[in-house]
Amino acid sequence: MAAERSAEGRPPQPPRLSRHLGVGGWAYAGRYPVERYLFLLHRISGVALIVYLPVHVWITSQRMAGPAAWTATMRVFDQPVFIAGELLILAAFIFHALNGIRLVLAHFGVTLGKPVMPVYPYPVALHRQRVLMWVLMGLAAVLIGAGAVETLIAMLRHG
Amino acid sequence: MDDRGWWLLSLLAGVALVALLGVHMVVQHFDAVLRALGWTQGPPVRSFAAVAARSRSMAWGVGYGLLLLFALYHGLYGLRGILLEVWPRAARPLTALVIAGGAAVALFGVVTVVRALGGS
Repeated sequence: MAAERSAEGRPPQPPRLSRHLGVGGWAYAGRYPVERYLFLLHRISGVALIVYLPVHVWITSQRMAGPAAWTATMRVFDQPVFIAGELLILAAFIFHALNGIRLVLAHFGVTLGKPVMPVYPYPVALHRQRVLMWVLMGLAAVLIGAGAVETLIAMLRHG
Repeated sequence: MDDRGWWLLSLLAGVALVALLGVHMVVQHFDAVLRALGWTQGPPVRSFAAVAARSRSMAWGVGYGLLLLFALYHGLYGLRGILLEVWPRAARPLTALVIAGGAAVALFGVVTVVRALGGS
């Protein structure tokens, strides 16, 4: 054991690997599968939703000030820029919810299948849930598209 | 409760949110679809009349309250987890900050929901 100690008498330190890419490593650290980018989108949509929530609670509490104040507030938020922002919030929720269903299922082992012998080509847990992933993302795309159509109609109606 | 318990609670809150926020989003964003199906009538979903009617309903009030509490817990738990990756040694202040902020929004929101139930 003494032979492993360095000249200063300290035990050998592990190499500094953790966090060496910093926050940039969230975006790319080489050969990420599709699911890694869903993880990133999950974070971005989640942060957007939790930042929006207190603002939303505050704005909708304007109902307590009576019909005139409510109508005036809603006239402000009927502007196209806010309607488009609400569509982004809807899209963030749809993606976060459907991707979250996949994550919860995987967390409880539902999508992972039974353990098998590691014979080449090796089974990969991610590949087993890839069909579910594409089904959920397809559903998210359809729902977000429907929301976009509804928003477009509302915008045209308000002129 | 240890960290596993808080994590599991955030998963359960997430599952509950798929249903609660799902209903909220369908009602708010797919009003035309609901009308075409004949599942909703009356004034536009964002008019004061419709908002006040939902506010005075016990079912909507309880739904909004649960939605707010689950969303705050799930969202702030997740936000804390992300920030802990950036500042791993700030666990205690981050937890305190998230609890204080969440409690403030929860209190404001629940008081609003209860007052709205009373119709004031």
